Amino acid sequence: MVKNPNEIQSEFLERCVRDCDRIFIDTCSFLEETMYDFFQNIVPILEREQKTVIVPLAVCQELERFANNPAECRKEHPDNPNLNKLAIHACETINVLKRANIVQIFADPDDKKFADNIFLYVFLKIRLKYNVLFITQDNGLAHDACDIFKDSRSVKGVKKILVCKIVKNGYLKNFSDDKPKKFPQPVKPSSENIPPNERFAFANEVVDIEGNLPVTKIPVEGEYVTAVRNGQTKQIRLIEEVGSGGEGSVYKTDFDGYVAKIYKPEKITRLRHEKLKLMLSKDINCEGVCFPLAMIHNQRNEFVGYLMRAASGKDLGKSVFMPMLLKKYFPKWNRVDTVQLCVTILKKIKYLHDRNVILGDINPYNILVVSPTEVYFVDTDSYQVEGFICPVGMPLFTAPELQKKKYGLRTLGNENFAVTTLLFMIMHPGKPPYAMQDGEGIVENIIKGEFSYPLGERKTGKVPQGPWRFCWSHLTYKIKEAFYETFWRDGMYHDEKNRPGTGFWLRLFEYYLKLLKNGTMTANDEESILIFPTRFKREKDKIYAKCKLCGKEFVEDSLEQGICRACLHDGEKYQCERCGGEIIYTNYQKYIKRAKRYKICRACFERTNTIFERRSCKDCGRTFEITYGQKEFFDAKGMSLPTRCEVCRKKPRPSPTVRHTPTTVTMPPRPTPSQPVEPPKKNGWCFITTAVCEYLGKPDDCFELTTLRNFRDNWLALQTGGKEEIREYYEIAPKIVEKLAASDEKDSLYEKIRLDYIEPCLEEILHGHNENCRARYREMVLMLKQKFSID
Amino acid sequence: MNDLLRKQDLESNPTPRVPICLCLDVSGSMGRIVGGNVQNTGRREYHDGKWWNIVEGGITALQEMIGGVNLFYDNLLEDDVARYSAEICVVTFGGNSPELILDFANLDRQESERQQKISALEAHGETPLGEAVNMALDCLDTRKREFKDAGVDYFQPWLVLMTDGEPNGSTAELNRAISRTNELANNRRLTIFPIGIGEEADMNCLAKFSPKRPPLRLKGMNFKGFFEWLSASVSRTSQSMPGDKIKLDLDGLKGWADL
Repeated sequence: MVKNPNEIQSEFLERCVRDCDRIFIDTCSFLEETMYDFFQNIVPILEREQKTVIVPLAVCQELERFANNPAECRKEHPDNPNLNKLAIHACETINVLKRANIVQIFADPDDKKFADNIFLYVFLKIRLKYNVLFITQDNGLAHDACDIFKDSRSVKGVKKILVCKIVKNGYLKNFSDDKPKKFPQPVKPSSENIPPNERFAFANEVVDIEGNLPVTKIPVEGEYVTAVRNGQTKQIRLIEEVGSGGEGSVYKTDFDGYVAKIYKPEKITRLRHEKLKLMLSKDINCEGVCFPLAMIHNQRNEFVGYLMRAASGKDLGKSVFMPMLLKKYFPKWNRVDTVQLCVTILKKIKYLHDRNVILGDINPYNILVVSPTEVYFVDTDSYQVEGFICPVGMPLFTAPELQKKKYGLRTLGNENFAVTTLLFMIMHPGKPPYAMQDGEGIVENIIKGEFSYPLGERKTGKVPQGPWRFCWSHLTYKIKEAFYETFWRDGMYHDEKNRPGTGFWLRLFEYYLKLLKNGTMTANDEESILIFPTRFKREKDKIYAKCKLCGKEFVEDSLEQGICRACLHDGEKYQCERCGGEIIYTNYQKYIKRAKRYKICRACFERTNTIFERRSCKDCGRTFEITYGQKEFFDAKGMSLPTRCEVCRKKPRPSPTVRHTPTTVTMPPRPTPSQPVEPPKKNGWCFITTAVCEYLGKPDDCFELTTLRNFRDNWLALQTGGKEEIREYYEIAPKIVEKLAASDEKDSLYEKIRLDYIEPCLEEILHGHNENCRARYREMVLMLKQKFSID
Repeated sequence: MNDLLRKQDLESNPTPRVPICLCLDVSGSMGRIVGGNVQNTGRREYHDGKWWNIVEGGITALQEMIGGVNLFYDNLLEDDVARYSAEICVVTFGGNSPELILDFANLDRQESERQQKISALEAHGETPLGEAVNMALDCLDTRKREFKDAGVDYFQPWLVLMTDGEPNGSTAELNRAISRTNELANNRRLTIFPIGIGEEADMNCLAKFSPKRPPLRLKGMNFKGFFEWLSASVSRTSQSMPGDKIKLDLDGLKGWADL
């Protein structure tokens, strides 16, 4: 019978609880998104087994701190926008479970300050008494905890600890499953099976021979030279030069399929001659590896070069590593071809490694590509054999331990770094593994092991912009893991000795090739066949849908009314009527909120609503405010700024009358101003908005609150019935907020209030439709009153 | 240029970039005749600090320079790697202030603009050299920032500074430009090629810009020779990898410059 994964996980959880005496949970596990599911799963088991979960007081305090300080959360953990919300939820959960006697909170007076230390401190005390189940998400802490529960020479009889983390669906996963035993050991080259006549010896010392060999004549085009090997000779003619470089020139010969490299006179050294002699002493014969096959002597029998097979094709650097040229030279390639190319190249390098030949200077300009299965390795005379080193190399392909040093004898470990880099750059055509956003430069990144591509939850967020993240996403997990563990500074394979060799990589890439060819990859995601996919790989248990606007595919849940987030933020651009600056009429406003365009930009709007001046009203003596917007209005009309408040301005001004009677009558005392408007309470009318903004983590002086307060004090308060309305809200709002905070649906309610009321209200104010805003706000209060049955 | 295309070019091309800024003198004196048949008009005019005889016909120093710059572009476009690796920006100085003629971009993308703008350069006005170098360094800084933000690898930038006279812009700007290039060059964050054109170029001033390499005086009007050499150097660099030590082929310089 086959068990489904959930059953297996549920059984594992049950076993964990049954087999331990004490259960501890760490802060970070409480803050997991799936913490809720976890308790759903574990509580029935705990009840059945009559066990409890122990939470140190320090953990509770830490959670409380996060729950009560949204600002601190943002500051300390800007990467986790939900921290505050999760912490609130965690505190609530602890309270509920404590009441149900499922959670127990422990503390000693001598507890240290940090939750992490508490666990280790407690574990040390109890390790001889109890088997422990410890739940944490923290690798380091997990590791330290395991160490405490190890027998040592001085302490015997230590009990067992099981350290688990909460995973996706609220079950547990054993930390030790992630440990090295899961990683196949890097394969060592199988040189033992290679006959001795093909195999070079190992050397510990660099061969150093000085001096040049005498040479009287460097042969040129059209001349005859002699190829010499094992006492056999053959006269061949140099037909034409096909290439030249720093060391000499390569000639096509009349010996079909073979070319001759002729060195420049200063490069004809004794060292080179000895190295070539050694190279020719073994039978190296691998299709595509243009290894030296014979010495070339001039007509006076002096050493001038060597004979090799002719190569053809475009070098990787000028084809595969440049997307525009890749398209030009290999227009029909897809991922099957790039993976096949990796396999072809790996087989050749493995052939050489098995024979103790180290390529040394692996780089994209000495590998030529005709097709995914036809590849040529050139410049082979620089390869390292025995004590003859390869004196050059490109920093990009140089292992961290060799960076900024002079090249000496290279190890297979050194070389495997170059091989891994080459594979990475074929699968991400031309992009070096250590390119990253905001990086210090490739060499520095290599030295520090700053690798930016993600593996599961492990990520830095610094992957270069562009298509590279999608190339990465579509690789098989095993390949991503092997790259990650090799390149990331704390990776299992990062150290020289642990780097996987060509045999290991060959297995991974051959398997990948099989999955691509038999359609397994494309069955899950048809973009997996593309060299440059346009999006991330689909996850198996998620539903995908296309964005209505851009047509790209996304997880369905992330779309809002069928539109992706990028498109929601994007939109039509136009100019602010006031400052001419750019305004975007976002698709969110257009399709989701169905709002009209703003006439002026937000900055201008804020500016028009800031107070330019406070004056006292000439008539009633009350202070009133003139905003920049109002000032502009009056300035534009050529009017001076008002001296009376808005209320008095609306009253008809008594027409001036000429007094005929002399003013001998004593005037009645000037009436005291009528009862002033109740000074607006800071949170009065905006109580609900304040709660919503707090929930969203916005500051007290955020745009929303400032705008609504301004609306309340400078417009609503002056309308008929306005003051009364403000007063009414002032009484009722605290009740609503209280109910709201206690509500089970508070998340969705806050969201609803924001989207359906507060945002539209702001919009109405922005368009100058104050009455509409007032109506909308009234509607909201009514809705909430009914919802919570408040009179 | 379209922002989206610019961003796409930046991100989808994995090739490490060689940013080059050409900082070119287009002051009045660059309009002097250096070859071809001329006819005197008999008029004299005062420009850029000197009296000039006005003639008809002939080839100006600026025209020679334009030919060199266009050759530079053409050579790079022919090289498969350099075409996608090199990025050029052109700042000129003449009139009263420097002018950004072409901002950094993929060479293919720059092509039509280049064809219009380079050939349309005109010699006029003063020699605000310090101002121009500062503008060029600002452009380089901005581009470097863009590379970093996108995670694009690049070589340390090159600055080619060509003038035929002596700077007559603001002294403060000139000193600021000199101290900026010195600091960058000493920290290996900039390779600068100061080039004097003709006998009247202020070689002492040019020397101040370059702490490591003396300025070069162009032999005759051999702009072609210089730009041939420069494009060959760019091609060679673009085939190395960032972090490699770049060895400039200074042998090539002997043909065109008085060292």
